[in-house]
Amino acid sequence: MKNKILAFLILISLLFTGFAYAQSSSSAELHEAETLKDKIASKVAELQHNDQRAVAGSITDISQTAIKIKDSKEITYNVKLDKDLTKVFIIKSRDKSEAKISDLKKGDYIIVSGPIDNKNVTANSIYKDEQFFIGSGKITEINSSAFYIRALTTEKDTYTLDTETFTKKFMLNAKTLEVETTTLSKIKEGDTIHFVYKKTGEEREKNRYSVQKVLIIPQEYFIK
Amino acid sequence: MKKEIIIAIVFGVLLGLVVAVLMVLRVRQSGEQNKIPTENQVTPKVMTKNSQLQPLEITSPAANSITDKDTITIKGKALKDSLIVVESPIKDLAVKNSKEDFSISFPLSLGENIISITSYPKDAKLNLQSNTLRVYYLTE
Repeated sequence: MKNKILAFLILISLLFTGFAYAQSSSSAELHEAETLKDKIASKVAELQHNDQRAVAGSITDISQTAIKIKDSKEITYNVKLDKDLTKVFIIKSRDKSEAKISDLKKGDYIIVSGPIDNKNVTANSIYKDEQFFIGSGKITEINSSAFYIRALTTEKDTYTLDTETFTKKFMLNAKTLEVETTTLSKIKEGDTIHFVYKKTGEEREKNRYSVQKVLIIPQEYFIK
Repeated sequence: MKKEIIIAIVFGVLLGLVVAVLMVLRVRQSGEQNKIPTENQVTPKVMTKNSQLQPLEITSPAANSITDKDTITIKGKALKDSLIVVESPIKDLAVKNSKEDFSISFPLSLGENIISITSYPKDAKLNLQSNTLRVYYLTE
């Protein structure tokens, strides 16, 4: 009888030991799985943060579920929309306001952020923005009565830049290298010009734009 | 057949082989010497003066990158003592880089920021170098 009780006790203790081991091993596995999950999540977040890119271009085609845009290099991207998830904003005067997909139309310049797979973008957010262009060259002509500047770029393109009342004019101080405001009368042929313009689609002639901003580097800087 | 005859035949064959190998090698050598050069060895490679110098390099930020901050630091390399002009629709900046490496803090406006970085070398005979960067300051 004693032997039977002893055998029974050994069996019970073995059973509990096994159960306890199973418990501890499963909790250890659970902990490992949690750690792995956290690691993967942080790695994904890190990769997303490091590889945050956007594409921008003019809308060539639009529907409620997709948009086609063409960027400055003439590359077409297919933008997938989700009416519940895709957020749309309009940027105006350095501020943004919320909008709807229906507020966008053909020809609008938009920035799309979201996962990019080759030429396909799943839009998380879309920003309607203004498209600016930048150029530089040597001044070949200044017309003070018609208020325009002609410049020849390094690519041998001639630009006619109409200075408007809103045009901001800056000049580099050759001595201090400070950027100072200037007037058309102080700008000379032979100076280097950096300019910013917008395309309106109503340009009078090829490469003629109302210039937003000019920065002049006087030839004196290069002579000294 | 006599033993001497067999030795003479073997010796003759071996000698013939050696002479043949020597002749083939000589013909090959003379053929290589007479070869007309077909590679572009006549015209020396044209190199612009700038190509030997430090080109304008932008190491940071990456093109088309998104940031949620209204200022970025433009880092890169340019020719020592050159004038670096950074221009965007909202800001113009000019700095002289005393070293090859430069680091310039530059403001951003909400949305797309097209930034032109131009390096004017101190030596006026050298060509300017330019790079255009697009950075997106997005808050969502």
